[in-house]
Amino acid sequence: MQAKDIRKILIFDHGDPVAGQILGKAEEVFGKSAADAPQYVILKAHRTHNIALQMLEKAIGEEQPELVLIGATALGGEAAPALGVRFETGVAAHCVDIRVSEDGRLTFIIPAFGGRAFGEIFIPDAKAGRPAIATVKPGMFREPQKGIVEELCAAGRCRIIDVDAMAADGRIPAGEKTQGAFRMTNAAPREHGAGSIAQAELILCGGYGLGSKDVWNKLEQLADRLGGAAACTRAALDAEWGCAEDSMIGTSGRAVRPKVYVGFGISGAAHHTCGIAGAETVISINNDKDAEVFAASDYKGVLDAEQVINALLTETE
Amino acid sequence: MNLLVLVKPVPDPEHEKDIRIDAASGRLIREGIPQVIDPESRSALEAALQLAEKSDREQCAVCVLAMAPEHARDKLTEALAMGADEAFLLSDKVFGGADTYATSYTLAEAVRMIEEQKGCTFDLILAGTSSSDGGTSHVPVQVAEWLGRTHITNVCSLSASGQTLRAVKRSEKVMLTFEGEEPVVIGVTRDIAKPRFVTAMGIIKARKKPLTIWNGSDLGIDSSRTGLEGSPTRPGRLYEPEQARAGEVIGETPEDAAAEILQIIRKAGL
Repeated sequence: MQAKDIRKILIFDHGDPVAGQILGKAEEVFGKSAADAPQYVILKAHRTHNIALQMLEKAIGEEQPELVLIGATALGGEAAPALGVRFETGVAAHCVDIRVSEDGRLTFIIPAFGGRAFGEIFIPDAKAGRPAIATVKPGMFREPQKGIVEELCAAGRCRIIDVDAMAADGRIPAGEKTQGAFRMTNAAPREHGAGSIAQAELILCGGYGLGSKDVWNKLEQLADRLGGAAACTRAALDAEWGCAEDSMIGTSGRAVRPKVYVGFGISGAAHHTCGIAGAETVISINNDKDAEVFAASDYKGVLDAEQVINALLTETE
Repeated sequence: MNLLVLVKPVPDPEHEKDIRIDAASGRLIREGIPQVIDPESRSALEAALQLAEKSDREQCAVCVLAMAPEHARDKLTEALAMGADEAFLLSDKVFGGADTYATSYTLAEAVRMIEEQKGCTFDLILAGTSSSDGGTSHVPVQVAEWLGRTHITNVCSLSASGQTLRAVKRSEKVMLTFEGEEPVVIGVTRDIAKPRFVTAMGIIKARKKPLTIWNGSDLGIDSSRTGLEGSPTRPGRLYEPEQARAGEVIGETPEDAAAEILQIIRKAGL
């Protein structure tokens, strides 16, 4: 599909900040020229799976967008491929970028092999009725400028379908707690709240090279003192030292954009470095001088992670 | 209980560093990278085997299904050696280049055919949520959609009591428990079960277990709906992420490094 053929973009907002990030990115890519600027329809549905999926299906059918953008959260990541089958169309998963190619084609950039590679994806036959669908990883795109929704709405380019409001005044069924034919019997808050790392301006991240729960605890203490957030890699998460899953950075975790990121004992697998590409400054401490992470770092220290953490704790006492 | 596990042969993720992209053609260089069963689908198989072992019913078969080139049959033999009872491999040039849409359609058609031959419906179809190579998390959902069944992904715990299946799904803020009796497709996470090792006895037994290979005409599937032709998405170039940063050295000693790190943090206004 040619990017210029996109007249209407439907964005799914289910309460995650990713919806705003998507709108900001879409406007940056497609909103440049006023004549061709697309319309946005934002579907606000902070709902459980079945209702969210029904509402999305209904909204796509009624609004006939050429492009549907959905946050790659647990809910969005499961709704998008279902919509792909229902509307007989292609879905680009976990986009790290959306572009217009030199010949004007709508181009999605997706990670493969755990972030080791990026690949272009096209959905050539997409059109209204069979829209191109893409999911976007939370944190991959910048926070939009403040008031962008109001501005676009005031200019007549954005409309909000508020399903939550419709539920509140009884126009659609309230909390139907089902997924397919299965009923939800329990919803237990997770021990660790949703990623405090998402908005953090300073992130101290621990890799498998920390070596022990003891050092992880020190890292958390240091993050606390510096007013930053502690995060971890997949390998450190699997080591079960106490890092929350929501604080895992990488293709299967979150992408972050802090002002300063300091990594300790991280080898630099693509899975992880893909998630820190948006950081302003990256500092890495690893005692392996050949660690891959150094190529993705502004500053490097070929030093023992624990010793540097100890020195930082002493300095900040 | 009738169980089916979708297993996916993938380039060994342990060899991630060896994956290279030919800059000129924008294609993947796979030479020298061994194939393995995708780690999440291996966990799915383990979860299925454990469910089958706990089930008090005599009729509790675990089938495995994969779509891959024929040389991947040894991965299905490995699944049989782990304890699966029967394996199906979908292998045909017309399946090549399929995206998740065409892949899931082909798999779903195979599920229908296996069910028809066996005269049963799979109570539970298990898969990894997200494979280590493509990682889209689409296939379990889309297989369920084609079959008109319930799908639940990111499931980290699974149990059965009588006819009722209970699945715990991990989402950002909550752990959601679902229960139901209808046929379901479940995508698991790696922590659902630690895969067992293949034993020598398992390998010997696997030789006697049925492994069926089907092509497009065996499935009676319209080739315009499979492979690249049946795929609504088209891949373009692959490239390596550009991550080049200066890599300026800070601190010869831990104390120097600590002082410099604090300085950088303060400079950033934090």
